[in-house]
Amino acid sequence: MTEPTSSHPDGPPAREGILYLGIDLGTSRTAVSASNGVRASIASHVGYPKDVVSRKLLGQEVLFGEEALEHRLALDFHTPLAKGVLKYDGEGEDGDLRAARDLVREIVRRARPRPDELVYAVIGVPSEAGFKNKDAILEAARDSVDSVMLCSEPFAVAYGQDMLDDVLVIDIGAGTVDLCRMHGTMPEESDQITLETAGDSVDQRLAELIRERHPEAQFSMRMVKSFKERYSSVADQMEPALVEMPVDGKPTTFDLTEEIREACRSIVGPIVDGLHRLIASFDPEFQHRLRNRVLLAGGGSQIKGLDNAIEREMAQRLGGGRVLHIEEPVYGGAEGALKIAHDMPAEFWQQLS
Amino acid sequence: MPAHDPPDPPDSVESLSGRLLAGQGHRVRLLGRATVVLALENAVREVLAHRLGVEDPDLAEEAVIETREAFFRHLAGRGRPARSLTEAGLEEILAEARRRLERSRDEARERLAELERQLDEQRRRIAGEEESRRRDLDRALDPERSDLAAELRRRFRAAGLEEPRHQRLLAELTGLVFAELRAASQQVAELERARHEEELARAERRIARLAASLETAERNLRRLSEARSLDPGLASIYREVQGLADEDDLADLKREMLVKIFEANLRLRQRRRPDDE
Repeated sequence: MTEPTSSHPDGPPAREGILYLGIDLGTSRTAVSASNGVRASIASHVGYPKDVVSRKLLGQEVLFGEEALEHRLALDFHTPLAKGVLKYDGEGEDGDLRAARDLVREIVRRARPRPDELVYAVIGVPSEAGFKNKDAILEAARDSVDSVMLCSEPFAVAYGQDMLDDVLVIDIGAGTVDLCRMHGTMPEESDQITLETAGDSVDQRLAELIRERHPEAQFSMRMVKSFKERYSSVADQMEPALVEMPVDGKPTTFDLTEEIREACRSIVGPIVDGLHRLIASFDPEFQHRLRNRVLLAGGGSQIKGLDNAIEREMAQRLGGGRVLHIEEPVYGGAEGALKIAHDMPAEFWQQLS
Repeated sequence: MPAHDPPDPPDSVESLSGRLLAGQGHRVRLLGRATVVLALENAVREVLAHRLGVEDPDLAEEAVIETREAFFRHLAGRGRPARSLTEAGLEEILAEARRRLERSRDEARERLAELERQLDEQRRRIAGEEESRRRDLDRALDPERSDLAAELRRRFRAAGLEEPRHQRLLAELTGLVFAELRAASQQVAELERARHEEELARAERRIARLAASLETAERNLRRLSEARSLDPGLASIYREVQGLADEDDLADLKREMLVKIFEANLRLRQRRRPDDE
């Protein structure tokens, strides 16, 4: 990040100071990077005590992240961006909209803005998000920031890495996998693909496999998710995934190595299908460049061996390819959005405030 | 020059709802900021070219930029965003909120104490009434002490019905009459008790509601006290809006992309508020 010495000639002087925020509003996690150096992330869960008793017991009006998950039985529980989409029909105060608004407020609070600063935020949204979805996100952000812009999440990742030309971004989240073709101009609709075979679908597949192969085991989706987060890998050689699940009330150890590998591999095929579509529809003269600059980002990119697995599949189906990892998968989108916020001219912010 | 000078602009800018003005019969046309800025820039160019004879395009462009900057500066001075409060302003708001909450808490406490006193009095009164009624009934329904039983005995005597069989009949008759009277009195007593219970429950409900509101006021006060020690935040490293650095290797490409992001967001905003333009 540059030093704050150079002020942009286009902008009006701002006595109060400007805090830029890059926000990645995700199905599973919401992350923020701020121009005061703060970075924070929380699980995208919001809960409201169901009744007076639970309110007294929890001592809070609203709970977020892991704390909300922990007490979800006593809460009116929301994951406002299920499948990467915030549903809102523009009428009245919907439960998910209220939760999304509170989630945005909380992530902004965690960025620690000073009360005398203007807050300008760029929020990354799924590349194929429709008008209603974007409108709902704007509605959710309205109360927490002074000016806000939305941009496609994979584009933010690419912008953050200064990779704006001949690169294919794969942003793997919990709700969606976003693929985006960058070729030196702003990506259009035809440059972007959103898949639903993402982190949550890996959880579903893993649960199915456990049910099939270990019908005696008792488990919840939360347990399945924690197994995946602890052991996720597509590598042939991986750490044995020995987990405990109760059988008829008695804790029992199961080896889920094969099931976790199989579930994690289930996303490779659809991702390479998407890459194939984006590469095949590109100028034939430059297809090889795209193939050799595939950028893997998002929380789901932390699956061990995923880059190699995609490369292998690309070699078989597309004649080769090279996959690069971004250094910080969780904050890649937020960092890119922060960079966009920083670079945006003053008058653009003012016109949207 | 126009025949009459236009009126001076007002010193303060009021925020008025377009719907409200329209409702009052005014014609309302809202303009987006982009439109206003464009009109302003064109007006500056026009005046420079036609009235002042400035033909140098660079000079004209400099004047346009300066005008735009000044415009935004004045605009920013007019309508300070709600978020950009000074710390002193925030303290003042917190102090006022605290005063209001303390007032409403004290009122709620007083009212609660008064209601609890009334409830105690009501309970004592009801208990006294019930005890007195029970004593009257016990007396009225005791055949040995009852006036009614004495009257029956007197009438039997007056009619000369004093043989043992008449006395048995009198005893049976007295038993039947008093059984009916006891049943009827019990019904009346139950109705009375239900009425009293409802009366007490109503008072207790009022007290519970007031106690809940007192608790809310106290909770809000606690929260407000905590707000005194709120994280003052961490200052951004930027005091001014930055913008893309000219020395950035990808400056041209990025500028073009930023414009497109902005335009897409502007379209989104206009679609949200179709009558904004």
